[in-house]
Amino acid sequence: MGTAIFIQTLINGLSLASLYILMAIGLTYIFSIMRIINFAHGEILMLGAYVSYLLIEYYHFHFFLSLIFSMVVIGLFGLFLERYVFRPRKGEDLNLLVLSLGLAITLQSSAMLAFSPEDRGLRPIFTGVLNVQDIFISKVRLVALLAAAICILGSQLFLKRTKLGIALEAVSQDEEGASLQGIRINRYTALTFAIGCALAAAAGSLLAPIFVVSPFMGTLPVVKAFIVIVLGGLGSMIGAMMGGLILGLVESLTATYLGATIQEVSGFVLLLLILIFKPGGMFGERE
Amino acid sequence: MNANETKARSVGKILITLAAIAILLVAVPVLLKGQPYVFHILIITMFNIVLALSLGLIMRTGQVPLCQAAFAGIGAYTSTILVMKVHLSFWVSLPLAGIAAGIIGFLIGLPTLNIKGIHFALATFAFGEILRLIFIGWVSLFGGANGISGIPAPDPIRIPFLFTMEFESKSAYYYLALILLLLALVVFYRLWYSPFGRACKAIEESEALSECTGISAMKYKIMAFTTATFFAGLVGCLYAHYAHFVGPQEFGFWTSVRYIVFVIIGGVGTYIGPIAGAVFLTFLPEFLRVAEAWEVVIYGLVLMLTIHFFPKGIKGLGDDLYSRFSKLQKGAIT
Repeated sequence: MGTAIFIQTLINGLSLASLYILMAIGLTYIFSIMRIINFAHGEILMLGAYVSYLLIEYYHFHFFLSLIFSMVVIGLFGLFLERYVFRPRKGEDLNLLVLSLGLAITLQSSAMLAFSPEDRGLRPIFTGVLNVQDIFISKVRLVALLAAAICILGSQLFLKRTKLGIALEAVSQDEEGASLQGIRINRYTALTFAIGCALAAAAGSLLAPIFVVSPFMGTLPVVKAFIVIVLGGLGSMIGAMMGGLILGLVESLTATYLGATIQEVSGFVLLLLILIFKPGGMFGERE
Repeated sequence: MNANETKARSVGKILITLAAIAILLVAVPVLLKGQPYVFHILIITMFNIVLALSLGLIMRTGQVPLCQAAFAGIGAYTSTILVMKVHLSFWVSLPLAGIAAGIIGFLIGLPTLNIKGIHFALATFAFGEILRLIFIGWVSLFGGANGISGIPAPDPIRIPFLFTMEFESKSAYYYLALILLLLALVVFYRLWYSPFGRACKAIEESEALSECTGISAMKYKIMAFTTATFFAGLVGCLYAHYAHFVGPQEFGFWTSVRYIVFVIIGGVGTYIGPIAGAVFLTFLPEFLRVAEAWEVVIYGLVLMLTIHFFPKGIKGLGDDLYSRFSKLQKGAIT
């Protein structure tokens, strides 16, 4: 029985980790060009979840179709945000911080007006559990894990293997150098922001069937994603993935073996330790 | 500008300050008698100004801490426990609350203040959240998620034959908050326009360069941080005894972010900025009450629009208007 519980805990940890990683990669995309942490990322996730929820509940979309639709819609919204909210104040760190906070407040309270503050449950999809030799895995978590993994892989392939992605990386490394090579900076920063938002929307859509959809659903995941990117090292994609993996597994293991309170604290203790002993994070650039 | 003019201006400044103090001391309580809600807003505004001032000093060294609310929390819980469990007088626990916050600020500052930029912000964010979770988790001492209610009011001040001050009405708290505000205004003013303040600014501009000229960056950062956390503790303590309640949710990450926003909206790196920001953003929701359900939406939009149009904050806007005004005047003369 002991090993079965352990494996189950690991798989739960992985499904948790995959959502953290989605959020963290989105934040990393945005950080790589804006050099800020986007406080509104949780609210972007929440909007993504609502788009999915509305499509599934009222228009009876298939879950995966609604996921893709939500990513596209929120990605376009990200383009808009980058152009009209963040770009005018690019490079002014503290002002960007206030902008992202103002955006978070506006989006959350608008969602409360538009959708009411109540929790909404998605109608059950992918019900039931898989039983492999006494290891029980809920199907919906498995689906979330796989879908998140596809998104993560996709975004990494895009970044490393396509010309567009390489250009993006060039912009994030050295804007001036990139623009000398004929890369149009503004287009790429907009694209990066859109991708970051789309990944948050994916995370939101995948969270929707597991938990509930509400205007406040984004505040906790975004805090977790902050922890993840610091653990892994700010601005590093591999760091975001490793950080998410570690946080997901540690949280899931402490929840099973040490209780929920310790689980909540564990992430922050990890964060404080890494900041004191290795402030750059595991894979971060040296400051 | 000749010496006489400078002297006249500084005398004028002192007169204006004295007049403002007199108005705050005498006129406001008399005019607002019987309007407890206005008093409440004024008291909260004064608390917020002190917190924003203290943050302004830390941010002058270039560090952005995301845990100022946590230090207010330390002050609030320290005083609450000292008064309710140890049965100390409020007047003893008030300085102790500040000192406790200051000491913890010092201890937290030591390992974190040499971390730079956004990493420092995240380290302090982690500290604040851990502290909040301790407040929630240690139920026997801190009352858990429900907090502690029924915190007694400060003991009355009795000066024989002169007056007695009982903390039953809002106006007594108003005076208490006003004294703290004046103290903070003076202390931070003196720090701001002193070699200490200039050293902080030098560190913000270039830490390496200021170290080369013999300014120990770490020393100044720690001094600024400790002073600021001391005042945050005092505010927290007063707040707890004013609201008769402390709870962990009031001292979380988002509250800390709100204080940061006071400073940025007011104008970073200026003495007057945090004050203006705190006043503006504490009064704003009251004016937005008319918008009812849209209140918070508009609040968020105002934050964004302010930064969009006035990237230097309210202070920057004020300077802009002032220079335009004086140009107009000169234009009129010539």
